Amino acid sequence: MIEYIFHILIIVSIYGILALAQNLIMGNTGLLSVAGAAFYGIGAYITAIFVTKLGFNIMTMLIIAPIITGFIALLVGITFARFRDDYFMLATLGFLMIFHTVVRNWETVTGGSYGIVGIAKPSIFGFSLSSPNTFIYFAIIILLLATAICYFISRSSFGRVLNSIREDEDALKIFGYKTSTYKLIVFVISASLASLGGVLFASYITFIDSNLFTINESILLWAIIILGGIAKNRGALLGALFLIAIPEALRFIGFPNEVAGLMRQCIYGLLLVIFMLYRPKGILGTYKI
Amino acid sequence: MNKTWKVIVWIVIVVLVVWGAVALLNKNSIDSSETIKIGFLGPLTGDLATPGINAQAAVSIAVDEINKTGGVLGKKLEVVYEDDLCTGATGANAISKLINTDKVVAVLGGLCSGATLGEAPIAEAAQTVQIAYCSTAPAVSQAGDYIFRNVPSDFFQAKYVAQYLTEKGKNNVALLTVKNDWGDGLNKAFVDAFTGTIVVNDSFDPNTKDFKTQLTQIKAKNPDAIYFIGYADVTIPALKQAYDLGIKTQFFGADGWDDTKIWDELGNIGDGAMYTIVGTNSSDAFKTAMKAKLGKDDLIYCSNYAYDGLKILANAINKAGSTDKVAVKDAMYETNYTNGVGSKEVKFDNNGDPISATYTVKIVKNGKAEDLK
Amino acid sequence: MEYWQLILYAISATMLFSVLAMGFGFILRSTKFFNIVYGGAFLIGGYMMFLFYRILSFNFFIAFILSILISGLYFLFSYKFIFSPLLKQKASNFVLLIASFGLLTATSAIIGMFFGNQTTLIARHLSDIYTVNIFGTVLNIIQIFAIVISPILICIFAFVYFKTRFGRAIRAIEDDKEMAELVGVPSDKIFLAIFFIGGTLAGLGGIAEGFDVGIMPSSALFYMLPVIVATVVGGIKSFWGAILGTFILVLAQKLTIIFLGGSWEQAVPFVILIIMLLFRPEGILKK
Repeated sequence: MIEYIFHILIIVSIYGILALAQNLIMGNTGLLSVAGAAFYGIGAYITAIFVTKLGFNIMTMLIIAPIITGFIALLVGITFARFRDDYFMLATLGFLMIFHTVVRNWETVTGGSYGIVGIAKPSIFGFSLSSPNTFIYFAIIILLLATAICYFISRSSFGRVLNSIREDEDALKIFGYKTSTYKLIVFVISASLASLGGVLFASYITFIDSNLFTINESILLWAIIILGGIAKNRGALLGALFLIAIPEALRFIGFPNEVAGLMRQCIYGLLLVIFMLYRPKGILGTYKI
Repeated sequence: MNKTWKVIVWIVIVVLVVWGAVALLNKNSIDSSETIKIGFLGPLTGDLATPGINAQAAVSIAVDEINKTGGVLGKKLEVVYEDDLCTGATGANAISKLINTDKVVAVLGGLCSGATLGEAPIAEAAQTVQIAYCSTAPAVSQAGDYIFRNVPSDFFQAKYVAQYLTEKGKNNVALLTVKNDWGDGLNKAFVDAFTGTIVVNDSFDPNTKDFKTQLTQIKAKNPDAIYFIGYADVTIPALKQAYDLGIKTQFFGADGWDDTKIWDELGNIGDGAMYTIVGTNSSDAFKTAMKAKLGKDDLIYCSNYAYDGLKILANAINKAGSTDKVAVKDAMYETNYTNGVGSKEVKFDNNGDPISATYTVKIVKNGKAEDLK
Repeated sequence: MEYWQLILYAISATMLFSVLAMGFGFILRSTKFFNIVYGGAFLIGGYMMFLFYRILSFNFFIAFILSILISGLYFLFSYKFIFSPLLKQKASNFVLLIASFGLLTATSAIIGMFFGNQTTLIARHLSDIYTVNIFGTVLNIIQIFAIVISPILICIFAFVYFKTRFGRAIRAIEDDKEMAELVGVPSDKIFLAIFFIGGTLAGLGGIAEGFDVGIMPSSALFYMLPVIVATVVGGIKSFWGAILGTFILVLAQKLTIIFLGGSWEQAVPFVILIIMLLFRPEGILKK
């Protein structure tokens, strides 16, 4: 039983990291990005490929994945950073869909529709972290690391500029700030963080395929940060806890299986609508959007 | 700073509540050392819900039968059913719950290969025997020491079809397969095994419903047969569109076509289509029991294998004489299961795959699939 | 023959989706954000038709009228209860987009709960949808319906948009809502009308697809995204933009299938989208 709770907490941690990353770009900067799931997926795939085909260690992946993902985000971001709100959203959506198709077709590298199996679990000094009881510590450490990074950013002057971009980008431009550069930087950082979530996911579940990184994942991330509170890091974490742990608890109450998954989707959707109408800042948020 | 405290308190409360609820339930599960639990995983919702629910019914029949004859290790057998939505991610969550919360001795599942591949690592790490009853992807053979299946790998299905088509003189074949692990597996195996000419080889997104362009191209090439790999959602529009185009070529499919929904919807439009399924050995008693359970005459072959799979597990546990996981695994490798409703005989090779495979061809007549005599 | 068949198929697809895109264009130009709930109306129209025509065995025309009425009302209510309040609060596009995604997700989920997640076909018997032979090529009645009715619908809408007072009011709101209100255009009423009509068009699309190939809850996004891309590519500010965009998209998709293979088809709209956004974000047609 304890293992099952740890299992859930690991998933919560992974989504916590993803939510923090998503919050950086959406909550702090106000950019509606659908690409969260894509960078999460890229992180997972990089981990899977490097570990299974090149024999790298998961620990090394913690450094490599964010770097590569960050680089990809840089390329993508350079193109997208000058787009206005809606177009930015569409462009990130396009990126996610294209990523999905490419991964599914590129069999030699990504395993195509088979996905990649047998990703090794991490081991520190020969001690393998294979069960939920041990993996949880690994997950929590990465989560704390991500949280620290996000807090650091929020409190810094860089973070303040980001918030200003969300509030009134045009005003900033008049003051001479190159907002595109800031957007690009936060896009890259957000992507690298999200990839850490992917590293964790790949090494924990040890099996990935392209179906894991869809639009629904991105919408789930939105729901998490909006519920928890825009621009508040602890909001992201709270949201992750609520939206991941509570549906799992529903399993126990005996919701008919057929309906459980759809009920979850329905609730995510309704939550988004209700919060937009009545409390766009979320539970713990303080900024109005 | 007040806010932060509020948050901390909140989080603590939530965790406590969850922990408490869980502890309560934990008490319940400890009480049930009166029963032997086996987990079941299958797609109870989604695109493959029809075969999944069908399999669930078969398993419940097997459970009843086992319990009528003394249960397992002298105790009542109980199956815990979980929905894996035919995906690895959901399956991983579900099997973790089965193994860690419900404390099942073994797992019967999944149906879909993708789901099984996601579930297997967790079973393997927990040293829990898992037997997949319908996962035909070649990759399952290497999934682990504790992972078994009583259906053969698709490698053989494609080979069988390739030989069958050649025997029937169909030397020019068009290949149109769904872009997922099942479709790709069959596609590759067929291309390797077929000695004739493949005039077209194309694939499509699982969400596609528009095959008109591809079918028009295929019609122009005039092949002897069209090997189409897809489940209900794509097969129904594809065959309808082929019919619209006036394509009279022989359509050949794979095990995914053993889904009554397809032929019910298509009516006579689907007549003449053929497909392979892993051979089954249904007894009348089984057929009757399934009809009673489902309320209709609808037997999908995965269910035969699910039924067998459960009995194989029960036998292995009995043979091991305990619920010790290693002992059960060893007993599995010594399985010598006969007179199943799926296969006549099941023995496992050292990959946990069945050592023999038989296939049958079914043909659709008057909106119903029947064995080709 | 093969080429004519492909061309005819492409034409029928373009016709059907251009009506869908045209409707979306109205919503986009007036509310100035990508309202994904349009996809929800698509679903509702199709599923209501399934409910009335196939499950309850209503007469075809009654079922049809009821279904598009309900899809229109669905979209209208989404405006009245969700988007109108948000717009009045001067909510940012961010908020509007999220709300629309949320409503669509919830709608798809609810439909899935009632009707199941698998493909749903509206036709009572697939053989009902018979084909017609045209000089050696074939089209089924849905496709013929699309080719015949769509231009008529488009012409009617074009007439209303360019030549009537109602159309002028719409154009005024699209140009500058505040200004229009100042000169007495009843923007709220017009919005209600646009949303209702848009909802019926989306519902019509859902019904057509439901008959032709079947729909499922995930169809909402599946059809919606190319519609959005078509509108953006063709030119958001132009009435004819949506139609041009659809044509380009359908053409590109079919060519991709022929030359690259079917599994790349889904990425095509997005590749075109990104290219357009890079070089000409306003779209091809300016106004």
